[in-house]
Amino acid sequence: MSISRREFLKANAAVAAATAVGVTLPIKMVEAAEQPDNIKWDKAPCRFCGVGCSVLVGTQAGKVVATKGDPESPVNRGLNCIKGYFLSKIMYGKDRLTTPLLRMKDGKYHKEGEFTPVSWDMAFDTMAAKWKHSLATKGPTSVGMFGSGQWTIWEGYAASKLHKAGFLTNNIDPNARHCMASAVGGFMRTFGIDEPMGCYDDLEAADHFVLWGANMAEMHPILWARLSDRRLSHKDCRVHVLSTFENRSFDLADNPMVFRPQSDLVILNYIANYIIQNKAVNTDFVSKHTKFALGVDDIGYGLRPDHPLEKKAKNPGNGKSTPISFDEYAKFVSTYTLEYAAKMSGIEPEKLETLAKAYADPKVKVMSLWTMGINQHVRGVWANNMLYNIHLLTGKIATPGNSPFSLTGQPSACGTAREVGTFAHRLPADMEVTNDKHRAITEKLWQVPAGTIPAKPGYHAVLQSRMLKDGKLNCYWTMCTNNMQAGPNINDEIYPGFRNPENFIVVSDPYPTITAMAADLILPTAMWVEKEGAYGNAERRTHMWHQQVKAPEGATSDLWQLVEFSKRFKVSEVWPVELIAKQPEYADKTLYEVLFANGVIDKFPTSDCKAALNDESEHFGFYIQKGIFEEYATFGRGHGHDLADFDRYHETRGLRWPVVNGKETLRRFVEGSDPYVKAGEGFKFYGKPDGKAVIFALPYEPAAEEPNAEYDLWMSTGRVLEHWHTGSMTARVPELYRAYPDAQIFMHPEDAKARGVQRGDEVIVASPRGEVKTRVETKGRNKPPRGVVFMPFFDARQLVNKLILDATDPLSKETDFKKCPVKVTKAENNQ
Amino acid sequence: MSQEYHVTSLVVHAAPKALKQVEANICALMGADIHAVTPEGKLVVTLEGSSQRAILDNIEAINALSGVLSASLIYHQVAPLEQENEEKL
Repeated sequence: MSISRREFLKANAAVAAATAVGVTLPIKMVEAAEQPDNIKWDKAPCRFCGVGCSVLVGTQAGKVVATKGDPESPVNRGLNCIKGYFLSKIMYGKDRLTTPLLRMKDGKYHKEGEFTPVSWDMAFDTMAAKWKHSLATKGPTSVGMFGSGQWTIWEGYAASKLHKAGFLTNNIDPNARHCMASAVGGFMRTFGIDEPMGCYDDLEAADHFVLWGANMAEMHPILWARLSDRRLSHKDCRVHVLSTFENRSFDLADNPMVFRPQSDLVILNYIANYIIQNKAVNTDFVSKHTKFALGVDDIGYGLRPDHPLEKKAKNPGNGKSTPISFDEYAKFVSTYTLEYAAKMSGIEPEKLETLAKAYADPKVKVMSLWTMGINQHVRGVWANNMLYNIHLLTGKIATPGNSPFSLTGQPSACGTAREVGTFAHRLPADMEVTNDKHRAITEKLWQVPAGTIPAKPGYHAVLQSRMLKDGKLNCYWTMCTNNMQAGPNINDEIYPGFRNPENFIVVSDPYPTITAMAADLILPTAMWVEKEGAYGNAERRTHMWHQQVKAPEGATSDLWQLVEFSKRFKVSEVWPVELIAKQPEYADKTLYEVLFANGVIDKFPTSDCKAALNDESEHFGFYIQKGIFEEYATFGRGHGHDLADFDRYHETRGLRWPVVNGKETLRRFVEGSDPYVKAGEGFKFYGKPDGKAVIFALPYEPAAEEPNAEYDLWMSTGRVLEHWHTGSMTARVPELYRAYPDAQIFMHPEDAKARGVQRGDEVIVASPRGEVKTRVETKGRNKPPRGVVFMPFFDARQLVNKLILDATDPLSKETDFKKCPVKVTKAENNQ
Repeated sequence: MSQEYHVTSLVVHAAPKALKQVEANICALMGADIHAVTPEGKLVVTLEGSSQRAILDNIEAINALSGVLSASLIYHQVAPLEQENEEKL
């Protein structure tokens, strides 16, 4: 390579970085970077977490060759984290799937057969036959789908519509159940409408930041960079970091706090009590805009009904509440004293008081940030409610810098799973299947007869696994997710259902994940910029991208798969006669004609698409992404969930809903920012009929299991910076794999010593549900206190989630992945 | 074995007190250049190398430096050396 070429590439890199921080470089460097190159650049949101950074994707000869942070993005302002930076490589793993693979023996499908390449026709024929047989013999509840917060908006919408209005089942749930369901439950219970009121702009407006279990330095690095900036440029800025173990976010902490697992509930109630005791309640705000309620307690652990813990609970799964007064609430939290909180949490009283003061001081603007520590919690909905309690008591909400902010883990957990409503109990725009009116609205917009959508919620994620095992759910399709690695209690509750001879399991994925290898049919999938897409990030930002490269020959997008599969069903084959009688002209139509070529979705010509590539539109003959988006957007427009016109999203770096009269909304529920709040109202929590948010009196209740004599350590699982979730993409990027090849167990050196092991030794980590072999790390980035260990779950060779009990928050049905008692012993023949 | 040229740029955010030391430590890394430093303690850094490993090792080394608050990767490009040679012929 010539020196000038090197200089050019280096100059390009330097200029990109300088742009991101707003500094100018020597003219020589800029000139070098301005030489022409034959890379074509276009924008796309990052494929990984829920922050929603925009990246510029460089393609050359049909391949993605470079990525850079998008300087025009208001989210990341030209920055990238290490995963985003290697995005260009996720599509080029050596084991990319390019043909459907069916388990076959003697030339036909066999549950115990070997994976054999088959045509798409053969794959769909086999699938359709299984689905039709199951629907005819066992009914709609015997088929189902497990989807994803990584689905594009149209994929989630197509999947939801196909199941709820096509197969007449609500058995569709996204993997977002494992990550965001408690956040959703918290929002719906407190505010009656999902998703944060604030936005990322609060990072530049807050005085104090409080991290509730979130390790943003590793999991949300770009937001962390913004937060670090604020800490260093604003002299009154302070950072409080709470976690069950010391992590990289502690480097910036002014008030670092390591608490005993589950005691966050006590700390939250202590802060509420402190606010009340110190007369720091914003009485004007509280009296005008809130009301109080006492939640039902002793609600169990979301386990199978015959589990002893469920039998012991007085009110399993009960999310009801009764109105109470402020005084009754004050009395309820009065037992959560500083002494009690310090004793339960193990945190020094001075630190707890410093934290409580930050919330109580009317002059301090506080931004609270949380994610899986609060959500993957057997009392996750409660914990979300209790976080809102302290912001509502002080009126520190919905104004710049006063922001309780629920971070997300997946790129479209908000945009697809939550807003489209791909949950077993939900419909678009926060509507629910149990509500007669909501079903009627949906059926009308979908042009299907009244009574099409079942009123009973379908099987949620954990229940799907149980029902597969029990033989009640028999035809199962998973897309864009890897539950055999990410789900809880793999050996006892997930794998048996996949291999149950009564069941037929289909997995769509770009790579042969462990879930795919446990299936009966694998469908090869197009990913990211191999298709047109739309995601919604954690701050309500909807953003889109165009297809920029072709998928490998043989692989197709989830959208193509869902819509194409619908062509194989005639309405008369899947709907009961009574339903068809309400709309007899549908009888001989296919589900494709009723659900997708319905006069709405197929009304935009392919020429409306401004991109060079759009394989789905070309295949179906209309601009299907636009058609689906516009049908979907009718659900929310005028109802607090307004989306802009489709084309606007391709022209911008995304817009935060509600988008009313072309204008995005930074902060909801507050006059002057939210178009749904009228002049003079000040605040209005319009998700509730009376416009008032609810402050809930909820107690501390223990975790499902606690360490005992045998399983004597608390184990938390989670992520590391270099990998995203189960590593199905990041572990295929050589740089990321090499940077962090194997999972490890992080533990305190004294805990290691007590077990006769040291750093680097091989150990067995065991719970009553199984064991994994790993190596000990005592000096790494995570430093647990004695009695706590941490293990990441990205490593497919160390399936740590098989140790986890499938206990969930009984209201949100989200698993607690953070509090599993384990024992650690030295592995035999240690090397 | 195929030869590649890798180039990466980063914005490194250092605690103001440790800025000089961080600068010196980064300069000492093979293939690292500092192109600009802002008053708030942000450094514009490029890393070059002939292997993926070399670049990654440097990133990890920068992350581990005392005084480094965050290191955001901005740009990444890989160019195969053979292809460049062919272009020149």
